[in-house]
Amino acid sequence: MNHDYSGIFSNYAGLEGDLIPILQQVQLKFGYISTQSTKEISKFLKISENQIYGVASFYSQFRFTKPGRHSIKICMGTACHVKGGQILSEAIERELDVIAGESTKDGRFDFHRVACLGCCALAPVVQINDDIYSQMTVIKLQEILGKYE
Amino acid sequence: MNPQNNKLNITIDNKLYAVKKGSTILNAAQENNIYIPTLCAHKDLTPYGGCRMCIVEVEGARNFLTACTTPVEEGMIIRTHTDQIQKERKEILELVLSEHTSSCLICDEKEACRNSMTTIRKAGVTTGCRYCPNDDKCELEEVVSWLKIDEINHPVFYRGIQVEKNDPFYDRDYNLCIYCGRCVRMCQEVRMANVLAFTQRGRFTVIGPAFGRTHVEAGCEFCGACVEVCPTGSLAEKYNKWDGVAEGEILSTCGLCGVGCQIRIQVKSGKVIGVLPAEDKLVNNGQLCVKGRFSVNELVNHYQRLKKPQKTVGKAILDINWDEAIEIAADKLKDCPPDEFAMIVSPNCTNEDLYIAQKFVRSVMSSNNIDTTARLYYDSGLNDYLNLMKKSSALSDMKNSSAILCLGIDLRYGRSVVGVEIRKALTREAKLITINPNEHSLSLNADYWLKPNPGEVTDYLKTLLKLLNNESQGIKDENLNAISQILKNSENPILIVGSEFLNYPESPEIFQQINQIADKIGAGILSLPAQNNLYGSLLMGAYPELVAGGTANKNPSSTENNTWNTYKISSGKRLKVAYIVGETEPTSKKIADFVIYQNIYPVEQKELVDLSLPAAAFTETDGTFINGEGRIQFVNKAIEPPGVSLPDWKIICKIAQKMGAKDFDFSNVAEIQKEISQNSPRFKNLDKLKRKPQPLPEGITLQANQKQDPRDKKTTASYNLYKKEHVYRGIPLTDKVEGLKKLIAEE
Amino acid sequence: MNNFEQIKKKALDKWDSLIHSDIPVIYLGAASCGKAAGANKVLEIIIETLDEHKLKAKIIQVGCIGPCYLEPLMDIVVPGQPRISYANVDEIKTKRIIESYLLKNDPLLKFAVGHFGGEDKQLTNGLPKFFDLPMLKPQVRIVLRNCGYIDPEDIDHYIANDGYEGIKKALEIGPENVINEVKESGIRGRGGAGFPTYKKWEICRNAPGDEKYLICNADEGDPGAFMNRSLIEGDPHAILEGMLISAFALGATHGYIYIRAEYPLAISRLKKAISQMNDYGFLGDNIMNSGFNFHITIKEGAGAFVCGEETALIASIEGKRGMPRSRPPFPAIAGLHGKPTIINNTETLGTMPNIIRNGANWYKQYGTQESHGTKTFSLVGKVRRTGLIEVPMGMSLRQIIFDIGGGTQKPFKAVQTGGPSGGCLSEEFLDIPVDYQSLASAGSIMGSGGLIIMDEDTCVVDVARYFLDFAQKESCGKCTPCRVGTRHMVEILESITKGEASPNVLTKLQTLGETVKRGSLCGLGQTAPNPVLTTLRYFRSEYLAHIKEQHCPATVCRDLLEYRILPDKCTGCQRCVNVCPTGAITGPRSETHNLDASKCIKCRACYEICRFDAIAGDAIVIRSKRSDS
Repeated sequence: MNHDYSGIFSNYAGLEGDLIPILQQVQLKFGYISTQSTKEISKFLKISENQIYGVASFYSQFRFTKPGRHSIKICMGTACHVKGGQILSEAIERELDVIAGESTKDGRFDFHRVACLGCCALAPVVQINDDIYSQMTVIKLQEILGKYE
Repeated sequence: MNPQNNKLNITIDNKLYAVKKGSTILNAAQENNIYIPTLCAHKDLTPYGGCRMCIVEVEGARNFLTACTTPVEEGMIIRTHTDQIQKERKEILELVLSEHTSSCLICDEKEACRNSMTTIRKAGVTTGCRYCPNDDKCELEEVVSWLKIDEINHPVFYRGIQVEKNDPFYDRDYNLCIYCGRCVRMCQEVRMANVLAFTQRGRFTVIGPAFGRTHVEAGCEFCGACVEVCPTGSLAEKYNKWDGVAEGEILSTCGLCGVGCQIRIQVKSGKVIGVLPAEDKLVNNGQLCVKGRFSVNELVNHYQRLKKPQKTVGKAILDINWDEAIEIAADKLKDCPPDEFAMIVSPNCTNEDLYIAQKFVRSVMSSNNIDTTARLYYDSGLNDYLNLMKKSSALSDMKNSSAILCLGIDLRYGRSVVGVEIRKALTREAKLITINPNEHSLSLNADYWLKPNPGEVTDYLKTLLKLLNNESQGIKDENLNAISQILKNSENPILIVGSEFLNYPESPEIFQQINQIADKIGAGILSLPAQNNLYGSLLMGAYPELVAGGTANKNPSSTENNTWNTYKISSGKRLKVAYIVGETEPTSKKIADFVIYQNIYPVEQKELVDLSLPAAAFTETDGTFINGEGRIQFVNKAIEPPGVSLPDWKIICKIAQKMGAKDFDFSNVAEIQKEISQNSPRFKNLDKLKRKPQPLPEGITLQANQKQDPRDKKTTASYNLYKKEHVYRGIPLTDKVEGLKKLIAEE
Repeated sequence: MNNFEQIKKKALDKWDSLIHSDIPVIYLGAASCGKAAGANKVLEIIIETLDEHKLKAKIIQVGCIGPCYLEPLMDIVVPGQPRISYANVDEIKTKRIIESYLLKNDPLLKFAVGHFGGEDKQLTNGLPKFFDLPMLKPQVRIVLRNCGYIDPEDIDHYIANDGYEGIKKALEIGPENVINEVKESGIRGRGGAGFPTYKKWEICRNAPGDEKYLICNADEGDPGAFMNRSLIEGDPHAILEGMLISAFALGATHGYIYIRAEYPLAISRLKKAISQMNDYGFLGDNIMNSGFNFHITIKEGAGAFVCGEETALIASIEGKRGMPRSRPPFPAIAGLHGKPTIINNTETLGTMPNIIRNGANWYKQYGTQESHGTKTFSLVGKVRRTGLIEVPMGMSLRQIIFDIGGGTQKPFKAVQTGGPSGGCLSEEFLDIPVDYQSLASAGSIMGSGGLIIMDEDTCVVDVARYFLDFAQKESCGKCTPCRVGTRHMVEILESITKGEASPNVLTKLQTLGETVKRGSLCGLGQTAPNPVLTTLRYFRSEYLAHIKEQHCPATVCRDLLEYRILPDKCTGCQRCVNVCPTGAITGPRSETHNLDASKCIKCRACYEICRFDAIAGDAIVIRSKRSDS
């Protein structure tokens, strides 16, 4: 077995209930859930890959494509919506030619719309990697994106 | 126990009922013939509560409750179709229909279209506008007409999902799917194959394997259980997609392997349009494998079927009538000396066919030269394999087994119903050990999967035996220690033997070791031969060494080394007449001066036979099979054989009678069974005993071929074909059944 | 219990040395929201400034005290002086305050918002007490009592403030009495449905079987709600102690905390707290030498709103798709792995130590006759003072929005209670008391406590569409009414916001909403139509304006708006020409620019640049198309 995986698996007893925590660890390590990942998890938990994929694709946390070098998350919470989150989201899609949930062709960014980031008082909010940008506007966005290569 | 304690009193629609404790409202209603509409509920599946059609009013409950999920309680007062419920159901069903291309359900011209095949639209006269393969068997349609919906007040969302047609046997049109989840639950709960899963969520939910793989890639067994439970036309069998509803169904036994699944043959207009599993608690439990479920109709309806007797004149093949054919056959056979005659008969034939065949050889031809191709299939391991059958246990014994050891078997396609039983046993905490060099359908489920290289199997088994005997001995695989412990401490262990090891030169040793392991731990063996009626062919005496009843042939020539058998077809003495019943031509050279060929398909190389006689397939005849467990099972005629074809026994009897033989004037199989019962008492009162499996009697032994040096081409047997596992009457299923070609690669 | 007394004594000493510290203590609000507002940068500056001047001070990172609009918040205590709170500190302010206060003993009160001391201190003259601030004064802080006050990462701080006294008492009085006390207190589930907590506990306690589970539901999925996050970040031990009490009462041996993975700080604080509990023998086998065993596992949610529903949450912990199942059987009888399971909301559990420690009668003094105690809310949207609050049950919406929240900038229009599952209430409901019954009778729900305030710039049709779209996207897809019904509703609402709907759609929307509400399997579907049904009831005229006049009164619905350049204001600075992504704006420098409406995608870029960067500042307007005619 791939060493990367056995390291993760060694923390778990191999019960069905370990599936989601394992998927989370795998995604943390590799950035996404690959076919190789489901295969290894399948062997470890004795659950079919189909079932694993069924569970993983239910939850919006899991991704099945390689992430970009930078990850953009735009908050779609209520406060952000009221303050123009949708317009920002469209601006990102237009600027980067990317669809929510996918990565740009050059692999520079991946873009996700997420439920509330919990900074409602600072809406609208965009998160790039670990940086949170508050009270965003379309103009500010254009400047900020340039910072990430 | 007082049965009263198990009952609860409830009121449904103002009537009092005493119902079983623990049942759901739906069960209780159904048991008392009260209709509650359902789309997602299914008797074999756990309640789901998704379609919301079965909502009922329960006094005291805040909301309507789903009947399929709510357990009954003492004193419950239930109303099943108040105006409000009906209105609610209608509204919900309209929502279902708005996701379902449903014009066939609510079209104004519906009735006119059905009755007179006319429609104001530009649709084909023969098809009407009824483009859904599930027409007339649609459960959605039933509920729609029950609720009298003729209009949908919502726009229809067509999902625009591409119809999935790349897998064999069934098409999947998820545009028709109503997300009842029956197929998923079937695949997960009952088959435990876990190929189908809900993926994504909400309105983007898709049913299917991981990463959009095809079913072939995802490990699907193609058992078709999902197709059967689909209430809509989403899942439709390719072959009979437009055949509509069957006119009737006939209960019978599948003839495609030694499991002997009970089947319901679906018949329409004198044709087999499909096969569905029968509810049978002892053998297949309402399940089938891909062969039984999907290949029978294609196999027996094939356009290439042999439909008339034919004779070869020079290079020409001429159709002839039965009288002429019988006359030619009788004529040639009459002059044939016993030792220059031989009959090859198929272990796929019914007991009645086999009995008549051997009776013909022995009493009419005064010969011993009758054999089946099983001898070639099992080769040097033949007799050791039969010894395994002498320890056979019943499939249902697996219910009590705490350890299962699978040896060289892949249950993905053939015999997949056994795989289901194994997985069921695993949910009861039984341990599973598989020994197989290749990836197989149970590799994921197995507690231990040993992968010996070819040549190492005997070493593994030897070590295991030593460990079981408490002799510590150089362990080849550390898991063997644990395995031996599991086996030692197990209750009612079962060994399941497949065909993987048959091709190994050391197969006799392997089978002997398996036998010893079984003795050591007191295990039953499930050998489940590839030939559906191998047991019957032995019991009927279709071998030189055996006579009817399965006892040893006292005729001295039968034990001599120079006895004729199928090994000698090409190397032995030149035959004058060969009579092949239910097999294909054995070699590329003609095997006798005159060859009579009797089968359901014509011979491929016409010049190798002189006379072809059209026979009936197992769907077209009555009789019995004996499966691998040793259970006598009924075969019932579902349809007339094509053309003028006849059951094997009838043809043989005709020839025998033509040759002046007496005692061949049987008019039905019951008469033959009566005669069989003189030698095999089990055939008396067949009705009572039919369900009881019996291991192969001790006395049945055959002389296996000596181990051969593979380099010695001269002695290699003919019929190399017969190493193939999925064969019916000599015909590889992959030749005739389109879909199997994609699944099973047999050289 | 000897052991506990020793631990407590040590903790009290530690706390005392902090309160009476001989060097200054700096408290920094470092919850997620504080960090988003720049608390990390402030922390760096604090350390730098202290280093620069070789000053000695203790720095303590505390949780959120509530008023998010004041973040980042920094408090300073100089020995002998009360704790002074500074709001909205940035890099420059921080440095100035520290230098001024610690070097020159001038607390720079112009930057301060409040103090935590007594009234008579000279130094704080003129400065109000922090808890006398209008946002805080009407509040009653029971579950939030420690938030922003103690170091959440130090168990001793919690113990010194009566922590773990509740479980200690529970162990003494026994499980039946605990349940009785909870029954007496009248507390109802704070997660939304408001089921009496004791009833659930009783069912579970009486269910047969030795193996029982307790689950703390911290899967706070409502957009616009962050009570649980703040509570866990600010006082994790309160929840954990609540779990101990609950588990002891139920006879549960294993507990799970199901928490959103999007809350990394809360998760790490919980982990730290659990390990401290283990060190003190408050968790594991034989807790406090009582023979009571309890273990806790943290499960991170993977992003599915529906997992807030009990049965879906259980499925998720079991490693399955989070699809709800029908009840009965209820989880209290057959839940996780088929065993009796209680799922309590974070806030319910966080309240437990207070109820047990102080008794039911104490708790009952707060709230109304039917709804006892307090409830936390996250106050967000178009309200002046946003943040986390805790008020006694029965306080009116008006008090909450106007007294605590400071009202709205523009005229108030509506308040959404209960997040996407709740209803949108108009001004006429401002005086109803906030309790389970009153909200329900108005067609809304208490929910977990999100309060979203809207003013006249908010379009209620757009908000209803937003919530429905949220519910639709989060629907698990299992049952038809929720999966398909919400989709039809979203489509209809979209057509309304585009001005393409016919007048009869409102009846259809109503019928659909009721079908979804009655017919759905779980709480998500059963409450999803609430925002639509309530807005239809209370804001019908706004729907009709969209439908009949193609007019969005709040100028929000994009298809009903247009961007215009006011010729008399435009200076022709070309800033907007440069940012327009579609070339809709043209015009030479210094001449009035022209906006081609057919090319305009209403991306807002020109509007923003004109307001913030351009010379004119207000030459581009967004207005209702109708105003044209």
